[in-house]
Amino acid sequence: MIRPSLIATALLLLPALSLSAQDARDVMIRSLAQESRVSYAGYQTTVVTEGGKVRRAAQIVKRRAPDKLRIEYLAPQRLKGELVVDDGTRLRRSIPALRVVEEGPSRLHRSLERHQNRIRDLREGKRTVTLIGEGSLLNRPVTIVQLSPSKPDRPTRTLWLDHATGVALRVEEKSPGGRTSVTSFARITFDPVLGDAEFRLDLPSGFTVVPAHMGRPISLQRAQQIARGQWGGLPMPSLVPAGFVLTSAHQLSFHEHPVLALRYTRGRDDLSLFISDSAGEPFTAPVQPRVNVYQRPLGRVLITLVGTPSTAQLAQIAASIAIPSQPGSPQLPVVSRGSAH
Amino acid sequence: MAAACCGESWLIMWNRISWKCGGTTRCLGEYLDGTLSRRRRHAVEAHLRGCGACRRELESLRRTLVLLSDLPRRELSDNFEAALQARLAGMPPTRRPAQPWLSLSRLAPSSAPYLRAPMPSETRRWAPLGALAFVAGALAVWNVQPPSSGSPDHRQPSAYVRMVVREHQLTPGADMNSTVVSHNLGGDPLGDGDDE
Repeated sequence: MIRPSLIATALLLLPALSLSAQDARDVMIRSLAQESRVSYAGYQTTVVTEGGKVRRAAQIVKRRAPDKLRIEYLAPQRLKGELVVDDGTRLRRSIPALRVVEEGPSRLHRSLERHQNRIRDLREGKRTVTLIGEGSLLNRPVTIVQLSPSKPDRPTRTLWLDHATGVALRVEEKSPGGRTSVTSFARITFDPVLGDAEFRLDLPSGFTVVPAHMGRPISLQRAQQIARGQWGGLPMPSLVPAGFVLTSAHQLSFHEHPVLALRYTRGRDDLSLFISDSAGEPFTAPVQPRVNVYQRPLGRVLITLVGTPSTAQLAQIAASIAIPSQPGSPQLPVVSRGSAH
Repeated sequence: MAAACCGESWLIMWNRISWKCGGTTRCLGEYLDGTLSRRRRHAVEAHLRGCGACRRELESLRRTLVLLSDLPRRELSDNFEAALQARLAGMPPTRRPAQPWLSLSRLAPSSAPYLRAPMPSETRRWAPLGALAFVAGALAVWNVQPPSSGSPDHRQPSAYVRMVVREHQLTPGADMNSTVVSHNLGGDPLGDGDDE
């Protein structure tokens, strides 16, 4: 028999629980509403952990209300010197190492456009927001809330929201696949003076403008699904140089034809396998330092290997690729065999 | 060369180029623009599957389009058209050839002396055949054996190859950058919109 005292305690706690859920939603809604009104500048770090590998970045971030953003990378060496500017109309990313400026529509503008929908979803309880607690970050009081994902394959986000401004001083993200990322301000100043020049990225001399990065990361299962529909299966090598590990899959397109990319890495060495419809004569050559290309037609499919291994090694890898004879059969993990690099 | 190009004699190659390849190459521009009818598109694709020369021609066209799209756009000044017309009006009239038929330049307004008279009818009749002969000769000279495994290719990389190389180079930094930008889109704390 349930003791009356327990029932009384539960009845007393129930409103408190509802209140905290309401508080979490209110905090989130307030943060969204204030977001376009606050300017700030700060030093920020990002740590990404995936597959046992940890990657770090450090950047200076400047935000001018309502819709201007600037990110200047200080680390790692691979990103250092890159600059991202979103001026509310377009987003440009300058990559000096490649003498390229990527360009695409403003992501900030697109995000702000969806504010009302998000606020409505929160008010209607369509998104679950949990109040984790109160705390302090950079000597500023913060409210910590956690947002459950809208779809099973989306990440869970935890935000440390500044009481005074609603700005997320820290963001933690955990994906179902095990990838975690944490972005946190180490220093921040609110309402700094930020001129127009800060949010203008002119094309440097000798640089080329290219469309914003096309490859969208997808799961390997999704890549297999797409490849089955297009080509009867996903061609994968059974032989790669020792140490290379399959790290990601991406979906892109070329002249409206689908292209899949599988990415293998080994330290600072990279190898990409592109799968597309077959067309044209195969091409094989070093195209840049540390970038060799080898193409091989495989029936209706064109295999293109790009990376640091030599063209002879790429040819060996390509020779080990076959389309699985049985669609739907699970892919074996890639075993790193073959001659050392 | 003919055998290397089409595996056939020069005469058969010429016939193929004149009739089948000529028809296909004339459509390649519309094929790339996606404006061909479905029936015509299938016919072009069927021909491309069996003809390396036309596939090379298609690739060359694609490369040209990519090169053109990479050129920076220049904004015309407000008075560009007026300045152009003024300059054209000030140009001396060109000498008109002695031709018994009406030429476009006689029909055109006086401000258009830069228009050329049309070619004589004999030239008009043989010009396409002459152009086809030139294209056939160029294709035959241009045809190269496919590179053997591992040996370097001396051709320029196609637009597709350039795209995948760029994609390969951009991916490592792009992943981290995408995370940083996403985390800094304060308006997307739900993380469900801008990543799709």
